[in-house]
Amino acid sequence: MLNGISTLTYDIAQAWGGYAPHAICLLYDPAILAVEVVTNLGIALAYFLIPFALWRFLRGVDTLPFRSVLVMFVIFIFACGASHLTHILTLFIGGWAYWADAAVRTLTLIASLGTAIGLIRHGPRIAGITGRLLAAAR
Amino acid sequence: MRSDYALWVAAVAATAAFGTWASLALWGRFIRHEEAEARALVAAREAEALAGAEAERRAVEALAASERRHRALTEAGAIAAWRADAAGRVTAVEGWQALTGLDPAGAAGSAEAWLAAVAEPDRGAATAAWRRAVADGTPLDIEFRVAALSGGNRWCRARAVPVPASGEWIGVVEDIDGRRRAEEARMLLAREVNHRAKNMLAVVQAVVRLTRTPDPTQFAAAVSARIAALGRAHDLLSQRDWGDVELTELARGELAAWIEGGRLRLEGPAFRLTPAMVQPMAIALHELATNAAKYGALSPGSAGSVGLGWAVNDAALRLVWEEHGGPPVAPPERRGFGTRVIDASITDQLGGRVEREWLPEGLRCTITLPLKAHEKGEEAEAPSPNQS
Repeated sequence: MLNGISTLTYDIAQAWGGYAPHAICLLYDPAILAVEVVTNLGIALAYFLIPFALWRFLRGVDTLPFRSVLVMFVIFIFACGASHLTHILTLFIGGWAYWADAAVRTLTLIASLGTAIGLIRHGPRIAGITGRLLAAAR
Repeated sequence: MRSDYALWVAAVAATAAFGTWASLALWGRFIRHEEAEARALVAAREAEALAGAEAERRAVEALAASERRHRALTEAGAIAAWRADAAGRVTAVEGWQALTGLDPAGAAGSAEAWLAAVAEPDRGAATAAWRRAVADGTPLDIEFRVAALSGGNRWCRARAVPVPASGEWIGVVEDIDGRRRAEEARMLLAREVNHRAKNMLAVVQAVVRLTRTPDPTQFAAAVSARIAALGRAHDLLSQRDWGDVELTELARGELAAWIEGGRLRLEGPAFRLTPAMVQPMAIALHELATNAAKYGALSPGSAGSVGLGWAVNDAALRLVWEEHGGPPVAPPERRGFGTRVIDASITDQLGGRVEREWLPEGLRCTITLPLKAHEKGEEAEAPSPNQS
């Protein structure tokens, strides 16, 4: 047990700055690097714009029921965008960039799973209540 | 090295699982809060909608109740209620049939359709009044006759006011026939009373002028008796509401003292004197009796009697005054008041004939009155003092 913990600590400490940039694996091929960079940057841009638009939408309609659903979408899409950025970092920077990428991906996983499970669990109820609300308003 | 991978996978998976659980728990709190809010909103909105529907139902019901009251009011008031548009076209009529017996469809439609129900003499004025009201927007208030299906005309009153803003007209027609007829009867009666009062004053004037006695006391007594005779005739007339008076009743009133004393008897069929005949006849009977009491069968100290009989045929009333058993009589040297006033009343006023016969047993006076001439003779004039 103690041996295991010491090995882990050593590995983390040693590995912190020890990884080579990911581009090396891709042999610094300009084509594949260009594709990686442009597509991931583009996806990240889109995934930052969508939460921005959703946030503006939420501020505009303050009587919207179940605002937290959209808030969850803001968080998970923003996390997705961030993970695409950190992926580009790992192409050219080794070491800590991989840990940053891992952390961001973990958060993205949590936000995405939470949103997915929450929607599956609460979705039908939310739909029913919203339907009655709209019917009564008519 | 294998166990290292498993450890890391477990660590990362555990982190992800805990993180997901935590995010779900956090989000769940928000969702529950938002759900409660939304449910409250739904309840409020649904209650609101229900209240709205209830209010609408009540409003519709209130409108229906108001409509029913309005109809009942129309029925209770025996009026026809109608509406017309700004151009004066009648758009709806209620109760028109009950009031006039005419088809309500005929009254609606054109501006002047309802005026067709107005009887001819009033139609022009009613049409002009309605046109003027529509043109000026001033309330209408007219009275006119409507040709009723039952025959004859009925007086109606139409009133209408324009409704501000819409320009529509709301009006009623009410049956005022009873009131109009009563008014007409009252006017007629007033004229009649006036006429009779003037007539009576003229007769009294004649009595005063024609009575000739040297002694003031006798003069007063004679005038007073004659006026009393007129008064009794007047009483009879007023008791009969200025209608016909039974001849027997008049004779009994004027000659009561002699009839009760058994000196005078009446014999004749039932006959109704028209109002115009009552006063002259009363005067004539009074004068005949007065004359008999002074000089004839009814005079003091004589045991005579009088028969008053009458008969009626198609054209005339024939009345005979017969004295028996009085002192011997002779035609008078001059015509006294009695003679002159009888002649004036019967001959001049009623167009009748007076014949006097001085027979040995007493005076016999026959009065003949043509009937046709006096059936419309209500407006007969008073005897003029100069006619004697």
